[in-house]
Amino acid sequence: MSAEVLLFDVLAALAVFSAAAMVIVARTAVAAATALLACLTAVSGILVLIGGELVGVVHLIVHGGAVTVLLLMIVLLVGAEGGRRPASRVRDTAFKLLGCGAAVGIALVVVHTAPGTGVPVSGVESGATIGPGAASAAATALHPAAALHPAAALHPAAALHPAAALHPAAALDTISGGHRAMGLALFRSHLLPLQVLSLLLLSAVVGSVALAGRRAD
Amino acid sequence: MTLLLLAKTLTVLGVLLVGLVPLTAWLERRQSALMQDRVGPARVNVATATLGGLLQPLADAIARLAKESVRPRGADRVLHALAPALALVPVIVMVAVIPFGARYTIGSTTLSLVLADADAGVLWFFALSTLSGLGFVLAGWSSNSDYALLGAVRAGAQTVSCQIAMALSLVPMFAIYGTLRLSDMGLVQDRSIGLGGLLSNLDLGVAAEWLSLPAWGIVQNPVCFATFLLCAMAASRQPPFDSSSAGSEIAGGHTVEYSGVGLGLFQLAGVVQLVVIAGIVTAVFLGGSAIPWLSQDRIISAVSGFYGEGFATLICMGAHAIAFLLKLVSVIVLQVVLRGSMPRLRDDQLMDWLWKGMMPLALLNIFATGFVLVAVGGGGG
Repeated sequence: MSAEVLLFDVLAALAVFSAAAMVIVARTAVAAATALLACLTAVSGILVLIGGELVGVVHLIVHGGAVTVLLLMIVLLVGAEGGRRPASRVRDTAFKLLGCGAAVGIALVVVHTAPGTGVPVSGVESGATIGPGAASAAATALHPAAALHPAAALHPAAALHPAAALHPAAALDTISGGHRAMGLALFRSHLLPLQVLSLLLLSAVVGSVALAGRRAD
Repeated sequence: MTLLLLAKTLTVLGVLLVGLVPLTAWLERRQSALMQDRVGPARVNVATATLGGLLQPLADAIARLAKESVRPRGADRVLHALAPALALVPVIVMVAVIPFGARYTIGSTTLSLVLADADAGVLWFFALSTLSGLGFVLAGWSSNSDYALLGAVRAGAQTVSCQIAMALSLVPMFAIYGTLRLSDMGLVQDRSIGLGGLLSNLDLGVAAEWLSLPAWGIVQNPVCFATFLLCAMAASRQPPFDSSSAGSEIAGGHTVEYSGVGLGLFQLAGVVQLVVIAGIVTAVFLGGSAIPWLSQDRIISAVSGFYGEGFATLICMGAHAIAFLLKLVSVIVLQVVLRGSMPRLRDDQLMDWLWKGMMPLALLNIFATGFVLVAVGGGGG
């Protein structure tokens, strides 16, 4: 058994265990957030292992670091049990469905406008296969079938395919140059999907301002 | 290859834990004492010789190990024990990406004096420093104490705010060097910028060659150096950015309920962080291991005439390592000067300063640098 496979097994076990067992079972929300951090760190380790170093480190900065800190802040300020009952259940459900629909719509636009992810790729094209998310690059490069499934491109878990650990070189070929290739892909071939994704962030900002404003009344 | 890596790792950890950490801890005490007109550490001695307090860090370490670790009632048992490790481990891992020398070729082997020559070296520093901040947040929450919780909330806000300003403040250097790899940054800085037209009218002869500036980051973009150093200090919660642990206000904040080994680990994390920041600043802004005006080629070609190329490379390697350590220690001294000479920022002042001061300045610097790079037609891009 090579060192890479062993390392992959350990990281994968850690990711699955911390996600499945600890995040869900944890008694307090803070403990769950800490377990989530362990899971995200393990996933980032796997990404590095398959040659997506930039993706791995960005994953760690954004999800492992910033998002988890914010999550912890919210939990320890308002408590996990906080939150009010909605005034109208029907209206609430309607808004939730609308939100889900918008999210799926954005996902579809991103997947189908991104070169190399909307259609099955025959072989590995250089540059064009690098998707908007780092994980999608690794996923498409390693497992062409992943490109058939819209969710795969958006979900980091797609990169967890065991074959990845066996052929780290496969991912290196497409993502070699790391940040350079990624920058070119993001601001040239994938500019439209990137801008569409930023809508999601904008709506999140508007949403949080609205929620904060309502509380101040 | 594995043996070489093991040897490098042991050397770096040895120099860090036996050399730099005690030295930094001593500098922190001794230098602050000098600045504040105090005597400083003067009790610990070997046969009445105090050695300027040089043995104080050892005594501190023994004291931490010998004292009882207390866990307050109602504290989260697992997280309270885990938090010091979560604060320390990422900081130690950061040392792996710092290059303490350049790249050397002896015969057919290429030797790079860095533990992990990561393609995205600087980004690892950002990622790991956020993780370390989480350790402090968890420490405050798990202690079941109001002061500690207050410290945790402040530490969390500070971690997020600092990361953004710190990352943005370094972007101009990425554009100038055209790389994120710290060892490559060292190589790019190992040359001189001629003063060009300024002096070309004067007949200086040989001296003209020496009238140049080293192409270090601090020369190319001093604003970047200042913003990054300050943001990095703020991200590591050193004074004067230590409102999350302010001793005179919230009695130590997130670490108030820690004693013995736990407290020792937090203090160790703080000191190692000081060393790591100095290492990153040296690598990005002070030419890494480069010696001004004496580039690697020049040293090797000068020495190899007498002793052969292999030996010349070894001499160059040694000189580079010494140059790197000297620069590293001077940045540590600079940090201690800064923390000793400024009053602590209040919590809200710190947020104001980060979001309304540092971040716009960093963004402005990005645009200005980009404009200059496009105008000159240079840049790594």
